[in-house]
Amino acid sequence: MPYVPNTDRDREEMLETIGAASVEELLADVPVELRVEGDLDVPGPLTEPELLSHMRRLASLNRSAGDVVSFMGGGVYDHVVPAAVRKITSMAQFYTAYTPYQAEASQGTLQAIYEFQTLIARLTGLAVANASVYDGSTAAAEACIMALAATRRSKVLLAGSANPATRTVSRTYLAGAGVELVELPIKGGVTDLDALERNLPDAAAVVIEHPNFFGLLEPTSAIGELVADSGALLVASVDPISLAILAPPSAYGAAIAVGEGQSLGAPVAFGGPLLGFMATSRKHVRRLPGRIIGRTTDENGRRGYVMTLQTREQHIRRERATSNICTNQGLVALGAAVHLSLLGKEGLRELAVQIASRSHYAADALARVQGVGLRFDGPFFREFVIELPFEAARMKHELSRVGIWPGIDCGCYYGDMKNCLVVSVTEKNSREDIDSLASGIEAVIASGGRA
Amino acid sequence: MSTATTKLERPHEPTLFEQGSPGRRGFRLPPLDVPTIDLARAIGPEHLRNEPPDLPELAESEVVRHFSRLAELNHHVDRAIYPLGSCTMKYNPAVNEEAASLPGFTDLHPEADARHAQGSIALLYHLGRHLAEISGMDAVSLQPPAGASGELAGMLVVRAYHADRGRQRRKVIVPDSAHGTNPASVRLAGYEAVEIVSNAQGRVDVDELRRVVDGDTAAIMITNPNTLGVFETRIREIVDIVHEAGGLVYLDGANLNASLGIVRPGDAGCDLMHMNLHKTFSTPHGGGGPGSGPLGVKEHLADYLPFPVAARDESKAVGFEYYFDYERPRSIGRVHTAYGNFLVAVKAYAYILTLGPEGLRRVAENAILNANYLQALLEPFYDLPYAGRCQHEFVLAATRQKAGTGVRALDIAKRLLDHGLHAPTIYFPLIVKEALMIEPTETESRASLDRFAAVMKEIAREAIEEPAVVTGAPTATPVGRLDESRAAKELDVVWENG
Amino acid sequence: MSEQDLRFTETHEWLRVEGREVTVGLTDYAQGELGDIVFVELPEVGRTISPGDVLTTVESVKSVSEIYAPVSGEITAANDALDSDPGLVNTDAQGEGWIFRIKLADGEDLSRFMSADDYATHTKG
Repeated sequence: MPYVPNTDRDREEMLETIGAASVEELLADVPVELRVEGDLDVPGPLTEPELLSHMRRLASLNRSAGDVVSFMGGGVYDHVVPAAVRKITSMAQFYTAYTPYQAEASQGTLQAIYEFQTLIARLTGLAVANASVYDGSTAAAEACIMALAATRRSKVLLAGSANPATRTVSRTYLAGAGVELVELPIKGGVTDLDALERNLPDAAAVVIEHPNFFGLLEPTSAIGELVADSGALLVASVDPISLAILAPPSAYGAAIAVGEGQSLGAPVAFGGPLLGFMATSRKHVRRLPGRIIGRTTDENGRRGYVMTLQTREQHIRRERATSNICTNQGLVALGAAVHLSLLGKEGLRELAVQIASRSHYAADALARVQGVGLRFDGPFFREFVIELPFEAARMKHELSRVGIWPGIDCGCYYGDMKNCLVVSVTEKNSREDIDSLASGIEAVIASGGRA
Repeated sequence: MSTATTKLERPHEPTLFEQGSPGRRGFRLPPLDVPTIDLARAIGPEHLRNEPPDLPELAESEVVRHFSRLAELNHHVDRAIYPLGSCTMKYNPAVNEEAASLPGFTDLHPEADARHAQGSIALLYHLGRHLAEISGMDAVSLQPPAGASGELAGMLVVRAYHADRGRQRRKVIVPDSAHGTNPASVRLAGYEAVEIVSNAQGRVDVDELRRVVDGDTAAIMITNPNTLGVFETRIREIVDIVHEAGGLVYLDGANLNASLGIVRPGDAGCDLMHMNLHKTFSTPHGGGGPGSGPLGVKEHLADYLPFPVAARDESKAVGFEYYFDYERPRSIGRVHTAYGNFLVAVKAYAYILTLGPEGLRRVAENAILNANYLQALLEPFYDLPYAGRCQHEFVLAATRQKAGTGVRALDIAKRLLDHGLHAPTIYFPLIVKEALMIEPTETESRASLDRFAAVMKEIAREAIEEPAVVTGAPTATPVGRLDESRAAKELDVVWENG
Repeated sequence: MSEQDLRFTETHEWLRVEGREVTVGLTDYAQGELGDIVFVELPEVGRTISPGDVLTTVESVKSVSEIYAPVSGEITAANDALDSDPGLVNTDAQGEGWIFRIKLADGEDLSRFMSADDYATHTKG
């Protein structure tokens, strides 16, 4: 039997030790009327070569980024992943271990996560970070829960310019909490400051995304100043790569910084596993959800690491825990730590400058195409929105026939933006790719909507 | 002490931040083939950072060596038994990793049109069908990225169900042997967790349940087999009591490994449940994730599942067969940015296909056999508060040792580490004093179980004859027993250059 | 002031009465059960309280003990020294390790609480 070492003879001898006549006897507690009759209706068994051939066939039904020129983003980005990242995350010592419950036998995982926390703190400018949560969306939702508890208020203001996933997941998470969730309207592609000010009284949290779903930079200084006097906590959902050049959340008064960390060494992988990170000030460290690794010493004074502040967590505080999270995204966090170490101080900055430069080149190239306009004129980082003379869905469909995925159709999320595409650029998009996108769009428009 | 003086003390591994040198790099980017923009002009000086973040500066070889040295400090299941109760640390098949690294899976963007994602959507669809068949549920969402996320989604389904019936209920019943995530998820969904005590056999006290259940009961959350490794033989009665009061039955599927092909929670009347792909379905635990906690529901709750749902249209009316159904007006919403931990789903799917129906049943049978065998070997040396046959796991108590020489469950756990073995889950379930909760899983050989038992026997002897050896453990690990109290008092969770 | 002057609750708080002001802490017995205390959450000064309210928590590495309001009144002071040295609850639970002070509401009296002797019996049971 696959993966079961026991032979029939082992089984017999083990039953003898137990004092049972058969395995059936061990199942005596399971009522007979509940037993499965016959076999489950699942396929298999397959041998390794049969399985791999089936899996390859399935995988071949996908058209992946390698086969197309892609400008898809929206929170999940196709970056170059250094080979050393995969080398480390494929080490059995990391991927076949579990949550470091026995610290003395888990120092590798513990120190790596401590280093991950440090890297996130340095990127965000905040004092402390946790060991990760599932993704950027749940990180934002968990930040709202922190703010609700810290302020003892019950209203959350969520920027309408934030990623649709951030908004819908936060809405789901907060459904049971009796929370008033207000989506702030958009003006010129960013948060409407007047609307923010009007809704601020009694708010527990103000959640912004920076850069936002459209790639635009939010008026963070103005938002920070407004929120500072309101008693609400400012939650900034940020792109970690952008933080190599953009002001960190601490600079504009964010009490909690969260974000999607997939771009740090993980593949796009159909959207999972992703990596949610969370950082905050020392004042709020006890409200953070999930694992936190701390440095300490052993009885001989040797440096070591443990899970700390565990009294926040569900296994101790049960219904009064700060969150229900248990398993997080440890291996993806490890990959992010490896990725950031490989790129380093200069490398991450160069990456951010490349993304900014390529996306500005792309925006300029597309804006020159007859019939295409930039929807917004504010500063942006890696993504920007173009407006087409007809529905974006049609453009996407036509371009996909020539192997170009031009971006995300805004019409899926914003009813008044059916002609708009969010175009996303990474260091993998060469000048040639960008030029082919521009000429592809030009050709489709020129032919009245056909590639 | 004579050995200690000759032993070379291994220095601790410095952090990333204590290594490297300014200007050093471990990776080169593709050349920039467009003009470099002037950041201040294009983005605006008010948005820019004054100082770049202080990241390490290391060569690739330094990075790889650092993390390789850290790797050496970990226990892991590829090395030896990892018998954490209720964590199902089974062997992670190598072929599954290969399947999940196929570029067709790793390089597909989640926003790809369905026509370009037929392989991935088909996989999610069919894995959902297989999990439904295995659990006896009717519909499955693979979106929850971990067990606790599945629990929250499940409790939100319960909430939506009662809201649709016009009257919200207030409480969810949780046995005192439950995982901490259960009451935490209940609370997060806006319900009050009402704990009920277990009876002398470690099972739900059915009479007590009758007293507690009323018109305000939204659901019961039950784990079966429970965390004591005991099957809830009266599950049908429990289901009926809750159903009669108009409540729903949520099954925590953390321990599904014992049930594969033998019993299906759906057939016992449970309305919804989560499964843990990183436990029952062999996907690696990754040092604490990524996991996957799919939520399965019966037909009457299917409309509430998180959207989108992977679906199939064999007629290919829209030109392709598999698609995501977003038209779910009664859905609780999304619980993940995309479709859950997709690559974890790939591994679980590969696992099910490798095993087939017969293999799945053999998994459960051997998990139960291994647990009973190990229990039989250890019973003479430790207390067994809930005697009798167990399912996939059992709970010992170090009460005898504690009363005798003061050796606690914690000490026994640390002493196991000295032998290169991992410890069981300790001090859980909370209702057992000095608990050692042991789940060997079916992938341990008899030799491995014998070795674990021999070491446990030896520790029981030490506890009587040389207790200081046990209470002073571990000594063979990279660090000695760590000061958790200092970690909490002098909080240091971020390296600050010193 | 000796232990005989203190009053005790079933939930392991001690109370010391001086006029209309009551000082509250965790009993020496309870700190022993908790072990090494690593954190004491201090209540908000000025907060109005009623019996049974959860006011603060005292935490060891792996357990949490909640401190309930024994009486109605208003919190007038919290022991800030516990911020930097929560271990005071271990070393001097019924003295330097006090947690907060309450100004008693009108009509409150403390006769329902246990004496030191009764509490000693209670914790043995």
